[in-house]
Amino acid sequence: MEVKIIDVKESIFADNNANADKLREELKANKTFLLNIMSSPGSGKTTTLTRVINNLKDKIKIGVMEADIDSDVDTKKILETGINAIQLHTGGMCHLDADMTYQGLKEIDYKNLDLVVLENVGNLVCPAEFDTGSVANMVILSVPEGHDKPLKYPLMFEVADILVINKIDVMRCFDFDLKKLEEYAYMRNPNLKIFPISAKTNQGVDALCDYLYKEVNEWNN
Amino acid sequence: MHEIGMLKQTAKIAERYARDNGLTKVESIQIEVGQLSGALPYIFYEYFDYVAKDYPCLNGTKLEIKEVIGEGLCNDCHALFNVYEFEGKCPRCGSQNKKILSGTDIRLVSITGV
Repeated sequence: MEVKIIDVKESIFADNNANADKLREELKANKTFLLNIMSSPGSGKTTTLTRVINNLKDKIKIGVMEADIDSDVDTKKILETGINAIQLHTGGMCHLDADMTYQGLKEIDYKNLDLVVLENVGNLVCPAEFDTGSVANMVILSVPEGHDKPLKYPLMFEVADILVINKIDVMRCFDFDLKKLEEYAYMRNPNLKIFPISAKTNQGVDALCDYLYKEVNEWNN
Repeated sequence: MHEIGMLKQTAKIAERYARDNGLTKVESIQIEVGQLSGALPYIFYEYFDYVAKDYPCLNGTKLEIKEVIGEGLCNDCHALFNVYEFEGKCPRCGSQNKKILSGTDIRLVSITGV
């Protein structure tokens, strides 16, 4: 029998990218803003998110999807703010993709929400590689991690729209150079919006929340 | 480090094309793996058979991988260079400020079979 050669020429990432674009279209039609938060473990994602929720929950309807490999520690903390949160377990995977995100959105009934926050798995490498279908990506980097992270993890900073620098209240305890951090971050991504904050002391949190509120309203109208 | 997931996606696409083109047995799959994709070709070779078990038309299929160079364009001195070889730094001026032109993707190029 004759051997046939079939041309494919398809990126293996094409499916996820297509799913992500389709998801964004649905979110736009339903007037829901999906924010994907990424960072390494312990940078303060949940603490920062708690601050943002408490600041905005009376103005917009918020839901949260927590993604972890195991446990529901973070979900319990978010539920204490009074808004709805669900736990997604990744089945051992180190990241979420658009399809998993969509399953979570259906579970949290996203159509009735203005803002859904996806707190992605704590990891500076893998989550950056997979478009979740989010409207914006927020990366949280904390002062103790050092200012060289944009040099070492380029993709994460390239896909970010918002960079939150957390734990500025302890800057004097570390060799952290904010100017260098900004220089390296802008080198990776000149369009980044950078917000230095302390989720612990609430410093800088208002500016971040005002920006998010503006972005959510623009998307939903 | 996501080689299993990538292989599953590769197998899924290959099976779809085999089915759409009336192939009952895929003899080989040709893929391009970018040097900057994060995937390691030797892991692809090692685990392809395991992933292919789910698809009858892919049992015994041979995987053929071509590596694609990760090329960068230095934004400061405009030199073109091999990003992996020079560890991300322009060999002419030392800058890390660059635009990646190729080598980040993994593509299923073709399948052959009967």
